[in-house]
Amino acid sequence: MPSHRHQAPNLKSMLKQIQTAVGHSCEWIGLRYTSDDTRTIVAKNGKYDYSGEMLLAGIMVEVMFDGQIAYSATADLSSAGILRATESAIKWAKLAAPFRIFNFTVEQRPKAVGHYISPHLKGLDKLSYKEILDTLIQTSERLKCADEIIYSHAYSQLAQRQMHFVSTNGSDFQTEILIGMTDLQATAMRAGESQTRTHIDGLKQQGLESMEREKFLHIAERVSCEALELLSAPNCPSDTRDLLIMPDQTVLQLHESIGHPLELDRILGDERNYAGHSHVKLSDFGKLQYGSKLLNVTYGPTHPNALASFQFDDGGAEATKEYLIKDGLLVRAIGGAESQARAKVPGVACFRSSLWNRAPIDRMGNINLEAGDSSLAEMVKATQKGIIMRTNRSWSIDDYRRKFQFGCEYAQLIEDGRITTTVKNPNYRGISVPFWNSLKMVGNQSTVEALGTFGCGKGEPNQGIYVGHVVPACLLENVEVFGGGK
Amino acid sequence: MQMKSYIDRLTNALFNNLKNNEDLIINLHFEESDFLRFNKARARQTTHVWQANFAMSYLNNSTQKNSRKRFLLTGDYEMDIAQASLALNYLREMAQELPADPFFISAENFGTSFEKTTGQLPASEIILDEIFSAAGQADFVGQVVTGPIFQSIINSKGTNHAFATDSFFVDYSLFLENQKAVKNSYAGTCWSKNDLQQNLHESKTLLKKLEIIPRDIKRGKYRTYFTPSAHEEMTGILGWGGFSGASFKEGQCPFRALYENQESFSSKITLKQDFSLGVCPRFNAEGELAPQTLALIEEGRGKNLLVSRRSAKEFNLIANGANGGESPCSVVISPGKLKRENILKELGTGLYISNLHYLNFSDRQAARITGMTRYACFYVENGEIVAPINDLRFDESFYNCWGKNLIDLTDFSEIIPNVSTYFSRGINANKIPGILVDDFNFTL
Repeated sequence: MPSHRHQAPNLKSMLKQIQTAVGHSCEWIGLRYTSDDTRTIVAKNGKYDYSGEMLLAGIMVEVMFDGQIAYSATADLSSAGILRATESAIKWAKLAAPFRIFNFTVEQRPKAVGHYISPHLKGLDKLSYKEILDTLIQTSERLKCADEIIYSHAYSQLAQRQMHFVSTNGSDFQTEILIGMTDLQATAMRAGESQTRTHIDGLKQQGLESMEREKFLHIAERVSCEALELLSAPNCPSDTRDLLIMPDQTVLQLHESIGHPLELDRILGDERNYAGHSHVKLSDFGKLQYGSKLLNVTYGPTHPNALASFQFDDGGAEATKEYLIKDGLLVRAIGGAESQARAKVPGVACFRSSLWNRAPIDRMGNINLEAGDSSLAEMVKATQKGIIMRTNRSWSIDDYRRKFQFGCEYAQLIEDGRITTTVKNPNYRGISVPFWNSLKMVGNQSTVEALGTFGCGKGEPNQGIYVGHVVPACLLENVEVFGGGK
Repeated sequence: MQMKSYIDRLTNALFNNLKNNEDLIINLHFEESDFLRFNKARARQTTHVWQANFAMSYLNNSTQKNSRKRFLLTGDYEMDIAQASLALNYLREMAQELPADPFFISAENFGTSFEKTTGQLPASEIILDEIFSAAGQADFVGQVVTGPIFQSIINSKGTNHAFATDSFFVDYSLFLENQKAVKNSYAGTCWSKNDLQQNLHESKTLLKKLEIIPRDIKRGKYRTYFTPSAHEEMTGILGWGGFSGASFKEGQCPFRALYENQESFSSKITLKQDFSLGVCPRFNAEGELAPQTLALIEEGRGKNLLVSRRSAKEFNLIANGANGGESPCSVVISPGKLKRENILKELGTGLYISNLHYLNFSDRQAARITGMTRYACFYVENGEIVAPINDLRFDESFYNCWGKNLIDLTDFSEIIPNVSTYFSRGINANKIPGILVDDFNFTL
């Protein structure tokens, strides 16, 4: 059905009008129009549950005065509205300039010209609620395959972002991203105890073609069977053993214990009052052996279909693939042009804002763990006493990103090179750098999945943003694991 | 701009276009905010935001169908009424394509109200000077947020509730070279330079206690005191289904055993939703008014779950004004008898925890949570603070720390404001006492 949406404003014409109106009262102006169009569709227990649309479109005005950049966001897209926002930004830039943390220049806002469109076959304009709901209702019905399954859902979110940026130093670039994601979940209960299995399908840049009914129905069978299986499973043992994490857990392990501590704004202290600091010091780049020689982590903004691929970041820096950790050695930070200028260490094009009304900050983008050369079967065979954990359900790490604890939905013991018993409530804990130095084997391409998270939280004011992670299965030596119970 | 009269005019015009079998529910969140971000007592970023989030829920009572759309108003009446009218037509078409809602909830007249707090917010021209003057030489990091907020729910059956407040908060930390820090906040509706300075002065005084070389604490069970702020962070995680009627029915409620009377807490634990705090509106997104107070846990026993009208219909429960997420607002935990001056003496030897970080359930079924200590936390020996501690991980069940291991709660509470600013500024606060517990489990 045709959508109800905004007409994107003529930013170049607006910029000219503003320049005429404010004259030379600031050194640089940028206008960013962002429109986020999100459709959420849910079926629960074999019935229709929810449909909703959200269209958030507005303009962020950025101005630079005496080395200070100030931002002002408005949803009033008229010329008068944009001018009011510009005047507000200029006021704050002038007030804050005497107290600025750094003397920024236009070098931190390089000229960028281009147009990125994410790969997809069917866009939001082809959306049929009826078709999608038929699929989701059937899937949630399939998930609820037994009386002991007390809850099931099939939840889809389709999100389209359109961004256009123009600036007084000639930037004129557009980004159009379409993301599709479906979450399937079943909760089984017996004698007051419940166990849940979840499958998140397609956390990546793609269109409505991701809504494949047969695939969802097939996954639903496995998900509900595993939820039922967990009801009879023993608790995860409490001991030390080798840990094989599958991609839907590797993604969180990478995100929390490598992604966040490498963020340059955290290292510079910007996040100390909210998201936290980092155990990484500026002097660690080029020196710290973050992991074993098998650990290779890249910033991958050009990875096809990965959640956070783009051509330019929100500051106009061109996004290129870079190694952050090479053969275990820390070589580069996750920091955009502003942080790189402040810290004087190499970074990446990762200066991103979550919404139309938030200023860009250092964000992860696609942080990927490069595939190794081991098959899953080889990793299992090489393990005498171990455990495979799948699907994150709990995550926690300290504000310096050292001491972590993760919990998963489903685990299987490995004994003498064979998978044996399924166990419930699996958890493990460790310390980031020693943990990654115990990386023993890395899965080959056959184990790799493109995943990520929709709501990585950070920033003051707070921002929740999507970040991608393309990751393989990983085997780690001697990890402290334990089960549930009070 | 007078948002109340503006939204009333806009919604009246929309309601005039409804057919007999149709209803609309409108939720508005408006704010005009200045976000000023600091690091090392310097200005990092400033952001001014003008936003009016307009959420329309369309109900077709004949077909029992509904559809929803949220977008932003511009503040220009002609543009906004045109956009909203277009959205109404779109929602009609969208509803046609959707199935009937199996748990359709009709709109009702839940009355009218308008609660307004006029404050005295800091002028842009003085705020930075006053912040930097109060911070002095300290490594000050955090943010100042200030500006008016307006929220309302209006439906075509006559419900019209609105809540307006001028408010601000300064949420900050002070750091030492050794990376030890004190966290504090100053929040309210009337800005006072003196109050700000006093707040910073108290934080600087506490900061001096962190200058001693921090101590590594071995994993194990410790007698532990949690300040109201740390205790509030523990309580906050219970918003994830802890008191939700739907979560209980769907197997996700961490307090299932409590509400089935298989477990209980110490009789010292009484937890209520109490709107008499006056910090957030009583109305939910449908316009229903929640009871002024609702006991969720009473003397250690599960008393009430939060139930929305939709959950009530789906699970055959009784609705009690809960929002759709069935998470508690204005949580008040009853104080105990532990006096401020006796905290260290009663703690004896153990840990004094001022703040926690990154909490999550490690086993939801067992109401077990994990998280980290953060900021000003100390090792205490024989009632004396010995040294700050390096960060520790805990992993403990509410059934232990609010149960057999609970020694006492403080006889004073603190109102902890919600400083969340995802999408928009949050409005909420909880009133929580400190808590002294035995054998709290620290694991890493």
